Amino acid sequence: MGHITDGTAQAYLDGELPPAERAEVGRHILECRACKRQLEALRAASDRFARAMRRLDRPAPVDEARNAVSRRTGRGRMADTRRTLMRAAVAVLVASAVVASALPGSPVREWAVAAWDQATAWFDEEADPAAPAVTRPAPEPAAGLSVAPVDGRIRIEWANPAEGSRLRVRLVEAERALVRAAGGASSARFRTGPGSIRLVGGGRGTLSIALPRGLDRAVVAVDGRPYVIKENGRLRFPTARPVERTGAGVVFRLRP
Amino acid sequence: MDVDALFEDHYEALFRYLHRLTGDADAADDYAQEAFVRLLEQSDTTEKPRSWLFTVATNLVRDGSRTEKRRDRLLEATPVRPSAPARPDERLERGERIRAVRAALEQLKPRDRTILLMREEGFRYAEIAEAVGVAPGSVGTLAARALRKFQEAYPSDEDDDGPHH
Repeated sequence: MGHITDGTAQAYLDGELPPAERAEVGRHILECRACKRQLEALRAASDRFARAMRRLDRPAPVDEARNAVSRRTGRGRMADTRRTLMRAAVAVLVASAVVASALPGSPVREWAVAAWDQATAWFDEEADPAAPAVTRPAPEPAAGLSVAPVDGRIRIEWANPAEGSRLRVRLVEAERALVRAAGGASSARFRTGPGSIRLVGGGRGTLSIALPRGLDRAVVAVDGRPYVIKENGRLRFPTARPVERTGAGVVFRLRP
Repeated sequence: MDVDALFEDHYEALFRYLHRLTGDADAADDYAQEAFVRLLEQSDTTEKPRSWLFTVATNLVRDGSRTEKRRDRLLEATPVRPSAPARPDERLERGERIRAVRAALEQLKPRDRTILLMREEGFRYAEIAEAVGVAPGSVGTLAARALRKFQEAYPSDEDDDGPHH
């Protein structure tokens, strides 16, 4: 094989070459320093472009746009009053639970700890599936959260993850979605809402998400891009291909 | 078609793409909304709403004289100095860096700009080719050339601190 063209190199980096050609290019760059440098230069140019584009971004006016489109089309009108009341009711319930769980010996606290231990056993399984379940103390609030679906839906978003972070998603038999951040990602700021969790920032690490199998719909997004959509019993990956797909779930590398 | 689900899945990405493409948040919002309205009002449902939305929005931008006039006004109002004056602080101010990025994007042909930005959104070559009207086999070459050209126009090394919001 002769030197590869820029087009072939770019297609190789973007995962667009047929398997046989991809294998051939992969073998060639092991032997050809010039082509390997060419590939690295294109990868660096791509990374720089991606970083430069992120400088331009600003928050999208989602709600305003949705309302405007609903007005124009007469479809999907949001029941704003109903949502406001729902959010207020959820806020009151959450506040009450927090106060109750803070009381020493509170049954609410004991329930929450037991529920968390049971639900997060998944994270321990992957470290050593053969090991017996171990009861651990409740995790630090900053490292993990759970959220219940609203109308059968959940949305989890991670904005501005550190380069090289990983996102792991798995379906589990549970009522609530569980989110746990490990490594530098545990310093991310968490914010919860009805049926949603939003994380911002954090250092390089891994975000593990367990989605209830029974959900009607779930979206896991990074920087506004849907990485995982669960719908109609299927998982779709519209933005990027997972780097790992096993029975333990799918894993994405973010901002490699 | 579930409107709320459509917005959840696609609006932020579409807005981001259009904002990067046009440099104008209001125009990006207008074009994004128009694309959604057209999708919801068409009688035939599409299996790939994301591709459909991006293709329609791209065509709207290409055909919209409003975008050209707005972009020209923006560039006139915020010219990029070819050589920045010396500063005690070597790092560019955020606003100047944004202007530099925009100016570098403007150096690319509209077609190449679209290719790179759709690629950033995770579209496959076949989808990009359909949106911009080129052969799928040429997307890699066009993308590589555009990336190199962008790098020449935006040679700053000050990109390691990531986004600011």
